[in-house]
Amino acid sequence: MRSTGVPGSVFTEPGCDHSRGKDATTAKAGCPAPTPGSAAGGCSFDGAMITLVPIADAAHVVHGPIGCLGNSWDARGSLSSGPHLGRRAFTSDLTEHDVIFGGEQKLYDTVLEVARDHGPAAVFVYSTCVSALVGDDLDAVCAAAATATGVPVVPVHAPGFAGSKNLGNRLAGNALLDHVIGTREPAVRADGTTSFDVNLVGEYNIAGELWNVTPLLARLGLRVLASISGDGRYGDIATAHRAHATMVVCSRALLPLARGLAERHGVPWFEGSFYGVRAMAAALRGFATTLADEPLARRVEELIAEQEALAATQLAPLRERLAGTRAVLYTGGVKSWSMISALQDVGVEVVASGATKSTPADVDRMVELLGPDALIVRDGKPAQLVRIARETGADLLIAGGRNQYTALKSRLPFLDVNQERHVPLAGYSGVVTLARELVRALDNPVWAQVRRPAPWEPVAS
Amino acid sequence: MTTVTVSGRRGVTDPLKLSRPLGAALVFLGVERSLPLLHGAQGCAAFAKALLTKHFREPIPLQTTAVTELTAVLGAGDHLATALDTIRASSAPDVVGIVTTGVSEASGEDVEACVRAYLAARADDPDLPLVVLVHAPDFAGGMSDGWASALAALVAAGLALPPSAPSSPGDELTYPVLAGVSLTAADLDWIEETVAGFGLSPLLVPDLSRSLDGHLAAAWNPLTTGGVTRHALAALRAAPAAASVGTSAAAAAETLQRAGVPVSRFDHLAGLDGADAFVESLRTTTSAPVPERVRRDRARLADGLLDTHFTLGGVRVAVAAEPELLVAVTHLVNAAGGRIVTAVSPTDEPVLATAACSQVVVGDLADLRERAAEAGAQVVVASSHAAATAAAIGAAHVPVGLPVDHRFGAALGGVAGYRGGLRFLFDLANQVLAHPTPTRSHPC
Repeated sequence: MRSTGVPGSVFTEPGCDHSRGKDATTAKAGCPAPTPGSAAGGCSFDGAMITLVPIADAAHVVHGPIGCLGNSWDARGSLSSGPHLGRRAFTSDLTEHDVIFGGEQKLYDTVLEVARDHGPAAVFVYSTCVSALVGDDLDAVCAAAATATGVPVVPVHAPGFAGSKNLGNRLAGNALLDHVIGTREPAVRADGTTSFDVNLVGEYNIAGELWNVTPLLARLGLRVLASISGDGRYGDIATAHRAHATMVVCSRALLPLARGLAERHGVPWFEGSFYGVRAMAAALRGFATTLADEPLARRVEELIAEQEALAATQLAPLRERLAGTRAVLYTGGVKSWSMISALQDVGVEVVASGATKSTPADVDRMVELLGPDALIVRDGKPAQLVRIARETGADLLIAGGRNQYTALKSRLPFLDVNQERHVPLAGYSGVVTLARELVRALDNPVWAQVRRPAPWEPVAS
Repeated sequence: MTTVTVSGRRGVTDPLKLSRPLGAALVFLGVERSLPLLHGAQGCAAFAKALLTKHFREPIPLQTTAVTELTAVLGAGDHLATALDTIRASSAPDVVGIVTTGVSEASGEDVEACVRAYLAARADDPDLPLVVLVHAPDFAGGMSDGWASALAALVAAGLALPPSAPSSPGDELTYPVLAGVSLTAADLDWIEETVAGFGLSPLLVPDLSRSLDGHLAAAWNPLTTGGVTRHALAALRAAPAAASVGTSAAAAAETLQRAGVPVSRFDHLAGLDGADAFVESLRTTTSAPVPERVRRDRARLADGLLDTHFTLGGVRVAVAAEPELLVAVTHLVNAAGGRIVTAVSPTDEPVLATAACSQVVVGDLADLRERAAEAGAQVVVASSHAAATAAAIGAAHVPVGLPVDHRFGAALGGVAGYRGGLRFLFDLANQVLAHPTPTRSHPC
């Protein structure tokens, strides 16, 4: 077996809390390993696809057997304002023959077919457990296919068995740093300046929510040079090195990408979230601070004041309805604290929050928002969530689609805040949407009906 | 005779094929208090779980051994044992279906030996679940193959159980029906009621109509909330006769037949012909009169054929589905005077030669798109993955198969028997009515 191409350095990433652990043992452990028999969530391959598939004008070719793509494509809510090639699904569909004799030729042929039939801006090629085990040389095939087609062909080494989804996000970020960023120059703006060009990293435009934010950035005079990767375009991402600020949006896993941009290309970065009124203000101020521009800072304050006033008017009746609402929140990593902040903005009390995929720093921020008595749920098994909701008297569960039916079967209202949802929650308009969705979930008449036993059944004690 | 050809492309674009482990896991979801355990990287289970959750709109019990890069090479037997210990401790299932995947098969590990060793070390434990091992390499075959292997393994495991108490005189005779991958909960309901109508006690293996039919149970449960029980599986070998429906139940039928139970096999139950054959077989087996309920169902389908034939006569239909479902759909469409202009199957199988159309392509949804557009298809009959295909060629879409996640009620759809056939023809005709033919010329 050859190396699967996952560099050992990703496990010693200094920007990651798991590596920067509070003691030597934690630091060495790196990303938490999944537990056999009680694991939940996707693999590294899944994570890599999540990060890169929103690049809408590229073709994404999976070098593996059918399970990797056949079971997973067409499932995510990341939207594109233009091309939809990224949503099409391409795979070399490895068969027994390929496992025995190698699948390099088949992969090569597949990439050439895709380039011929679909005219992609670039092709991303993903390794999988099986192709990594077989030892196919992804780098060599990609190089040969790039020469033959004249199209950039980018190898992504994130086989599923490398680890968690978060690790896959990070490995995809590495692929962009190593093969894409810095390979093109941006178009010059009409006014000749580039000093207000920025990058977004870790924003996936779920349900089009990026478009709740980009008009505000445009009003501030900021140009999003590279969106990595919601509504992303290959050519734009290739110019990310020319930006003057990077905002890492709710993504601990893509911090290394931001750090790489800073170290290799001198682009400063900051972390933030677009969820909630307070987070939006912090994010917009983050741009002003990072770009260190006084007039921009003034424009930012004006915009915040205007938008907060608008949101406050729209939120007032909704906050009234939501007052006293208690929620159990269960969502991954960084999103746990950013969503807590958004929920508090609309008047919801978060009585417990999941932290299965969160780093110690994420947990610290959760505790900071929730107070020292907050219930931090480390074990996110469905049974546990239901029990906690019962014990805390929560009115609803807010989580990813995977836990939707856990809540419904327990007759508990539910709101999906993860990647499969169909409502945009980012930006000032997103926080109003969040409040409306919460009211819609809570006020539906179904709850009273399904909680009532059938007339012939004994009343539950 | 239908010719079966293969897609001209080297790679796959917009896959129609689902994975073999997914099909295998689905069998165990039709077993009560059961848990499928995918022996692979955690993504294998996560993807399958997400897809099934969206299709059934139900929580899907499915676990993983979480094989890592290191254990894939050095041996993942410990992961398997740890996973079994963990799920036994957390949910104490009656049945565990261990399903291998591409990664555990490619690594060449002796999974049988691992399972044997695990069970041997705990032979005295009365709470040991029934453990069924299924080989399901992702790189060989697809969902139907996984279903076929898992069902055969489940039946073999049932036959190996100590026999349950013999039925006393006066008890109804157990009549197992080995169910194929294409049967929905509504299809299974019809089969069950029809068998029961002849005075037999139906035993559906597996039985998704009691687990994933979409029902609100008393509380959330980490295991399957219904399905064939471990206890009932022990009754298989005492059955005087049985049936199998669907070619993905054929391997299990052979297993049962070898154990001395005669099995009547049906590739599908499509239309009057398909359903009549099944009912006739039950009538011959029992010498009982055909129940009034069944006669009524038949009369309704016959009437539905008449009512819809004006709309469906000459309608150009493209279908993409698992082999046995594809064959059933072609027969139903044909029965109402429609014409199958394109048929695409994700995998090759002998049953495709019996489809009611001139050609079946083994390929993907890009094949469906190209050929259906070329043939001027008015309706696409396929899973939700083909919604974009139908829209792109301006055709209506009737969802069948898996996943159907952009419409409600997939588990209560289906095409089998008098009732399923009627439901399908109404859906098809309603879609044709709702979707006027595009104004372009087609070769007839």
